[in-house]
Parts: sequence; C-alpha cells; structure tokens
Amino acid sequence: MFAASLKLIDFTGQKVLTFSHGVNLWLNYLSEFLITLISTPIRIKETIEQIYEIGYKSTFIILFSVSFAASVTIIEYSYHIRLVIGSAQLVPGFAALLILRELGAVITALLLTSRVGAGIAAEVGTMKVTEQIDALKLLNIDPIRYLVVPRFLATIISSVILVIFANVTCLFFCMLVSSSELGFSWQSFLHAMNHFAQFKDVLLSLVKAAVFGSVIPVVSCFYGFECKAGAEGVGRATTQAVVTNAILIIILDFILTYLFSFIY
Amino acid sequence: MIAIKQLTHRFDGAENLLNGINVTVRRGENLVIVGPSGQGKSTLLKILSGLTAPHRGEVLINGKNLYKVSRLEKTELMSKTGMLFQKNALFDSLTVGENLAFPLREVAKLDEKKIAEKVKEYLSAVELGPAENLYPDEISGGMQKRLGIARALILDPEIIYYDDPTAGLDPITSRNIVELIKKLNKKLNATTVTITNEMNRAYQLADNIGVLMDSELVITGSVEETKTFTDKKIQNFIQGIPNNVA
Repeated sequence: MFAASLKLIDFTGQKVLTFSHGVNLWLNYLSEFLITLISTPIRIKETIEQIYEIGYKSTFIILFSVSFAASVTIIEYSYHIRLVIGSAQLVPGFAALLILRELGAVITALLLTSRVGAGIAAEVGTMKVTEQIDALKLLNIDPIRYLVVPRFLATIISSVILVIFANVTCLFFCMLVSSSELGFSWQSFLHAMNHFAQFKDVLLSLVKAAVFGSVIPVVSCFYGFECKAGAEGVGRATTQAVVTNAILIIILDFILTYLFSFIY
Repeated sequence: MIAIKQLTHRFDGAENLLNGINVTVRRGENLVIVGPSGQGKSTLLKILSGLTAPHRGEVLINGKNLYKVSRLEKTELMSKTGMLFQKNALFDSLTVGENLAFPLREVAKLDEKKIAEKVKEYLSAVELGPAENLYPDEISGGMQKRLGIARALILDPEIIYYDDPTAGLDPITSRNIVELIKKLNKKLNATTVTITNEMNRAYQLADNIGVLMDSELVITGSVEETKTFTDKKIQNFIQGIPNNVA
C-alpha cells in the first residue's frame, strides 16, 4: 500500500514536472517570438516566398474541398428545413450564414493546418535534426526572425485571402445546388440570402481567418524547434503540430463565435 | 585564443557528461579531440561555439567569457567563428552556390559582385565549381563535406570547429578532406578544434591531441607524445584495443 502510494506520488510529480517544463518552453518561445515580431524588421522577400508557398499553393485544394462542403451543407439544410416548415424559402439565408460565420473560415483553417501546418513542422523539424538551425544561430541569424515571422505573416495574409475565395466558392456552389435541386433562380437565391447574411458576417469571418492563420505557423514552428532526433522525431513533431493546431482552431472558433454573438 | 575552465555539463536528469574540463588552445594551434562515441565530444564543440550553454565553468574566447558577455559581444565573438557540423548542416533549399553566398549576404552584407567573386574563389578552392547550381542532396557525401568546409571558412573566421569532418567517408576521400582542411587552416592561420574518431586523421591534423573519455579531457600532447602516452586506457583507445582485453 505504502509502495503504491509512493509510486503514485512519483508518477504525479513527474507529470507535473513535465507539464511545467512544457509550459515554460511555450512561454519562452512565445515571448521570444513576440519580442522578435515587434522589434526586428520584417524579411519581405521570405514573407512573399511564403505567401506563394502557403497561399497560392493551397488555393486549389481549399477551393476544391469547400465546394463539396458547401454542396453537402445546402442539401442537408434543404432536407431538414423542408421537413420542419415544409418550405425551402429559408435555406439560402441559413446556408449563407453558416458558410460566412463558420464553414468558410474553419474548413480553410483546418485544411491549412493539414497542408501548411504539417509542412512547416516537418520542414523546421528537419532543419533542427540536420543542425541547420544551429548553423543559422552560428551565423547570428535569429531562427525566429528568419523562419517563424515570415511564415506567421504569410499565413495570416494567405488565410484571409483564401477565406474570401472560399466564401465566394461556397456561396457559388450553394447557388448551383439550390438552382438545380430546390428550383431557386440565382437572383432569388441572392435575394433570400440577403435577408439573413450581412456585410459584418463577411468581416467577422475574415477576423476569424486572421486569428486561425496566426496560430498555425507559431504552433508548427514550436514543434519543429522542439523536434527530437531522427525520422520518428520529425513524424511526432508533425503529428503534434497538426493535432494541437486543430484543437486550438476549434477552441478559438468557439471563443470567437461566442464573442461575435454580441455583435451579430 | 580559446580557454575552457572547469567546464561541467550534463543533460537534464543525467549524470555529468563533461566534468571539470580545462584546456587552452593557443592562437593558430590545431587541437584534435578524440574519444569513444557518446562521450560528449560534439556537445563540447557546441559549448565552445556558443550554441549550448554549459552547466558550470567558463569558455573564454580571446579572454572574454562567451556566456557572460552582452548579447552584442557574443554576436561579435561568434562572428569570428566557423563550424563544420557533423551532418554538414547545409541549407537544403539552397543550391551549392547559394549555400556559400548566404553567409556573405546575411552576415558580411557584401554587394552581389563581391559575393559572386568570393563564392567562385571558395568553390574553386574546394573543387566544387561545376556543382554550383546543384542542390546539396544532388551531390556526394564527400562533396557535401567540402561544401560544409567552404561555408565554415567563407567569412574568414579566426576560430574554426570541425565536428567529425571525415565521418562516413571512404579512406581516400577522408584523407583528401583532411589535406584540404590543413591547407585552408594554414591559409587563414586559424585556431582550430577538431573532433574525430579516426586516429590516423587526428595524427594528420593535430598540433596537440586531447582524449575525451569518462567525462574528462586528457591532453596527451603532440602526435609523438600521444603515441607514447603511458595511460593504459588511453593507449587502448588509441590502438583500438577493447579495455576488457588484457
């Protein structure tokens, strides 16, 4: 009994130490990142290169995916709304609201997490295990300024632009499905949509895009910097980055939606 | 000049990897550190180069404690340092030429004409001219090593660290790499610390040799002194005889 209690205390103590060590690493990293972001000039060339890598190269996969998500949304909505009130009149408005307030930004962010977040974690992790990060430090090049800040700015800019495109694509596919399945003309769809969706919904979706976009590179670079040696280490860092990003995006979506509910 | 005083280092929760190490490397001297794997040779080099802070002790570069000076002074001290990493640490997104141009552009802030001239000069010194536009993963291990050496030297450092410069290379290539290092060291009149597991390469390079074993660094002296060093354990290592053999 006594031995078991000691084991439990030992186990708990180790977990607490590991947790506090992790929190300490995060706080150090975030403070360094914020200081660097504020106090050093932006590397414009690298930022533009990253916008191309992150934004431009993600465009097709995001638009392709959201078009299906939008089609599913409108089919589901039409089925349930017709079941409850016997009319499809409210479908465009509700669908547009869901797309602008949630789907466009969240699906884009989750897709960016899986494509860009994983890529950044793997890239930085590989640089860590192959000593490229040490080589940068030895050249007095701050890895946060060189690697994190350009990716941070590029992901925010790319995310906002991609969410605009994603929203437009979603609404376009909603119109397409509505016209073929529900008998809405394009004008009547837009008219029905305008009763519900407002310009501030678009603006707030872009705020969400910026917030989600800011999280992905910061989290991914952290796991890259903390990557342990070997292929397994890089794999684990990538997985941790994707999982943490996805969870943070969902939590942040909840917080932002709650805060925006006072504005809507 | 490099001086290490009472340097002790360990990883969290582990025993001391390096214990009370003292050594001085005079200006222009080539110190080679040998020792069995896993004894902390690479860690020692990272501490010397300013990349890993030691638990205790001092690292003095030209009389200044690398880990006690201001950030600006540390930057200045590190800018006098070049390093060849064990895995070369070449930037894999840059070509061979760009790997050499990178420090000149980022650190030395030279204009593009001078960068091109210096890149050409160093590529020719390490015989990599024809590979200028290839990426590091498109060239052989020996060529990668030569590129790593050229990058370590391109800022004309006063101090150069070589972490296992012949690791994974065939005997002929590794002999050529060591000859190249000797030639370039002489040209720069640099102070160097080299880590290797190969005694022949150590003899080829060293003014002085140190053996890092059981967390302690024993300076065995010049090549001749090392060959006749009396400590049995060290002799066994030098001659490649396992310690449990009588």
